[in-house]
Amino acid sequence: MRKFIGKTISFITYLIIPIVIIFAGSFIIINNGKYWKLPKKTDYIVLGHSHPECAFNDSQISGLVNLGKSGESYFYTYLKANKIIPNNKTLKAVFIEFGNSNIEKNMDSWIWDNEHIQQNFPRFFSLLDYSDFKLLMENNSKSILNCPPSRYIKEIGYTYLSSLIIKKNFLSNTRFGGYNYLDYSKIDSLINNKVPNNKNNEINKKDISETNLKYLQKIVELCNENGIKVFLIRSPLHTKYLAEFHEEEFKRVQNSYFQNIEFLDLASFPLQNNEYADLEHLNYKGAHKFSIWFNQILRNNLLEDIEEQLIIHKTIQASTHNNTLN
Amino acid sequence: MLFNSIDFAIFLPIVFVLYWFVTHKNLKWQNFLIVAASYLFYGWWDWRFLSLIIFSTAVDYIIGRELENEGHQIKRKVLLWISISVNLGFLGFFKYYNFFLDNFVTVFTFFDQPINPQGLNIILPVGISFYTFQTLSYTIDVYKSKLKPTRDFIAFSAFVSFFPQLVAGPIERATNLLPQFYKKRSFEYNKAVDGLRQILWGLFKKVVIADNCAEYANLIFNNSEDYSGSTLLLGALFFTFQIYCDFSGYSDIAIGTSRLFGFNLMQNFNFPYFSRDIAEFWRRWHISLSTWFRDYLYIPLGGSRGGTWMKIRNTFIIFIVSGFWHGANWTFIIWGALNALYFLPLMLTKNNRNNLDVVAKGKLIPSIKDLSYILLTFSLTVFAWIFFRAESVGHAISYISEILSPSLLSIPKLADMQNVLITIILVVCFVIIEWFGREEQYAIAKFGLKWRRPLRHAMYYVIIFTIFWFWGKEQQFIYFQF
Repeated sequence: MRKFIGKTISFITYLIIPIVIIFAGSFIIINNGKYWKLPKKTDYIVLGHSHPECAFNDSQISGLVNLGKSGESYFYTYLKANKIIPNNKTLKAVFIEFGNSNIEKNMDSWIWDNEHIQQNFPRFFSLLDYSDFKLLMENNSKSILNCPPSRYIKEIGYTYLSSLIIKKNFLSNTRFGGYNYLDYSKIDSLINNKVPNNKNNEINKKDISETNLKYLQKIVELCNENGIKVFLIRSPLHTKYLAEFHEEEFKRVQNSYFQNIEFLDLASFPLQNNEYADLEHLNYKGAHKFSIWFNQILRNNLLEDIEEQLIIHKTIQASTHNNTLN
Repeated sequence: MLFNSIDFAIFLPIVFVLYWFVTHKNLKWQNFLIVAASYLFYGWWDWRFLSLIIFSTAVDYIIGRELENEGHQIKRKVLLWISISVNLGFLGFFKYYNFFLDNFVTVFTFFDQPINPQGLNIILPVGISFYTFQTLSYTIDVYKSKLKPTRDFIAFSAFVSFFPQLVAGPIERATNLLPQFYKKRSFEYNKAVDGLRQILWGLFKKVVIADNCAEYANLIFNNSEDYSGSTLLLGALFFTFQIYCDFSGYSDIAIGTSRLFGFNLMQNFNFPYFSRDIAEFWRRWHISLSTWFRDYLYIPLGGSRGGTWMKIRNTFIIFIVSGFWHGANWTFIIWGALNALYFLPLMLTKNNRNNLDVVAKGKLIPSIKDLSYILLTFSLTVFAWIFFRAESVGHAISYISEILSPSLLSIPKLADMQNVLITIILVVCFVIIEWFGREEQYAIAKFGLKWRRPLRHAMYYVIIFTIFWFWGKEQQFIYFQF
């Protein structure tokens, strides 16, 4: 029996020691600020989930890097912002997506449900502080403990590969976000089929994603602490989507949580049906048109104007008019 | 608690240490520990269903004792039927209530007599099909005087709830497992090491092969209308390996875990995909269930004695019941009937016991004849699995129709072809390892045993690393739903 226990323990020890070393190395690398540097001449970044990810084609907007990521809640956005912002203090502004879907209760499950934990925890575990870790453990400890090892191997592999072998930082690929090129359009079939009608689905306070919004507030505080201007933005959305979403509740949440934060509402940016991939996401055609327009906004320094919302509204109207003429 | 979870990785060493270091001097305490650990293991899913196991245990224990004292044949029969009614009653209610209800509604509607009965939202207790059969075997063996009824309630409870095989078998016979709870177990180094090796191999089968195959099998079966015949065939092949590695992987972990505690469970799978005919396949697939049905259903019905019609009837009964045991859906019944159709010609021509030994025993590769029989049997099995996996009979038929269409000749297409190819390579490697280990209890039973320790340990580390690297998305064990 002693022989068995002794041999089993030594076998497991030889297995665990390299694993611990590899994890520790990954922890040190990922927390090293030099791997979070944005390309030179980056003035703006975009954060958020799939809406901005598909809308901002950053190859067409000079000085802007799109770091939107599909399925990302503010919790994980905060974790990466916490590395990016302190290491890139020359940024002029951070645009954070704040749309109707961001306030919904199910956004909290984007933090800790099984699918999101298994997707994100192995990537972000080195960036968690105690309170973040506690939050996840309190809500879904089972999923954290049972994350497939293959996910850790993949993420740690990427960390070592990008830092030690190809010598590039973590923002040089889309692992932590980037523009997503969509080449399809499903709008016509979506409009012809029945789409969910949330018009009368009034949501009350308990249906608001409190935890998720708390982390949006933390991102805003982080930017303020580092002297970087913050804009909440709402990326272009199809009119059908807007008409059927709880707009009043969205406005109420915006006013009660983020009254003092500038809000750029680009939701009604004029686009044709074939420029949307679906009701919430632009395809490459829509992203191209929108990005060229947004680039002009930035180049004309309209965001620094005290009346920027009004000016943007006017330019959107002008674009609509041009579209109609075309 | 799943075998491939961190919960079990913590649970197992704790129980092991308590078993061999704290309770080892007293058999009763050791058995009691097994009962407590088993109830914890089971209650991890849903503690409410523990009451079912405890009730079933109590009923069969009392009936066993009563059968011992009862000499009157009719009264003995009544006692037996009480046990059968209780066990099958639970099974029938939890597993088949809604199925029968739906079918009654369909039949009445067909005859223009629509009825609107109340369906129930029933949760199927995990493993109910397994432990009810295990307790039934005890009562039937006691009734037939093949087994002396136990007077040790703790040992009997441990036999019914023994955690390694509680939820997905092997379905042990009381005659094999129960006496092991009466005897003091002593720790055997080689047996424990062998147990760990079998656990390792079971984990490989489950998390590397089954879970990766499951991802594509689910994708293809759930969206079958979007795929060509060749992709659907690939989906059927993925499911064929998924179900084998999922279930036999579970059995390997169960048997290996039992060996750590000094118990011997029966072999449940014996390399079934190397079978040369369907009769051989059924001697090698889910052996504990096949032999259960043989001993407690087929033989009492008359078995292969009697006339031709009797043989045909009995064959169909056993296969259809076996199919129905797997689930309350017509797809399982058709799967069972198909296997009966495959089996019948062999039995009627008395060729069902042609292949009793291991294929190509002692040889590196099979003969052309053996290989062609293996491939034929494998193809028939894959065809039958389509019914097993399909959502409905209609789904299975449309799936097969598409496979048999000209699109079968196209190149399979899936969104993630690179990972599909990796999965195929893993399956091929697995089949090769299984082939070389086909004469053993499990494929790697003797593999590397004579190597020097560092090399042998390197092999274990490679397997562990492969498991970690290719760990598929977590999937429930398929047989839990049965």
